[in-house]
Amino acid sequence: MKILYFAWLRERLNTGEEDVTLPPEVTTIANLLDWLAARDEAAALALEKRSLIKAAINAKLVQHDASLAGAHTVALFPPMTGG
Amino acid sequence: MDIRVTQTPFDPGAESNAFIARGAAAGAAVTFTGLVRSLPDDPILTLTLDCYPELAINQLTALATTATERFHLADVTIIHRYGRMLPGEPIVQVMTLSAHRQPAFDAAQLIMDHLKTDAPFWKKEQTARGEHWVEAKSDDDQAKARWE
Repeated sequence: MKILYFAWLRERLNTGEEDVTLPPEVTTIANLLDWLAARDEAAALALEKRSLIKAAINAKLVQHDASLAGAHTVALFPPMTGG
Repeated sequence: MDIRVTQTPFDPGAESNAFIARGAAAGAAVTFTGLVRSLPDDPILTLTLDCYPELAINQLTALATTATERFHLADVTIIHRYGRMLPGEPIVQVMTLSAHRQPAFDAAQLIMDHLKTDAPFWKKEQTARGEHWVEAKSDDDQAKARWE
């Protein structure tokens, strides 16, 4: 599965994109955030305020309880500031 | 319906003229253009917009569809730029075409109010003192809520 990061999340994690193989217990966006945050200190810090992290699965916005079944691309990003 | 997410600068006047030319039977066209703002007491050098284009197209298409159904629009165009821009340059253009002016105004406002918080763009301002990401504002959430 591919994960995309945008804006300050990309800067704090120092990557815009990565391919990951998830353990079977990671089945939702919330699980994924926990799993990513547990990997290292930079990730833990970047993902500290969970309510600030928004997510999309296969280019559709989702909530943190969304299932990762069928996900080929997950995007994680801060609140949007367009317009 | 015309939805564009692009790094290329666009000409709001030319876009507006082309849009209006399609609307002979409609009666009212509203055009909104959002510009890169640089206030005298807080000047910026450039503004860079980060974007997730695939999700942006999906979100803007959904918004345009919602506005079209709710206000019975004859046509709608949304153009949103990303990448690096200078003060005064257009960032976003929303144009709506309707039989009467009020639905055309309302539809353009609904699209802008939702776009601010629902379309995947992130602004970074470059100033003489350095650069920073623009934070999402609670005002924008309130502006969106009035359409619910």
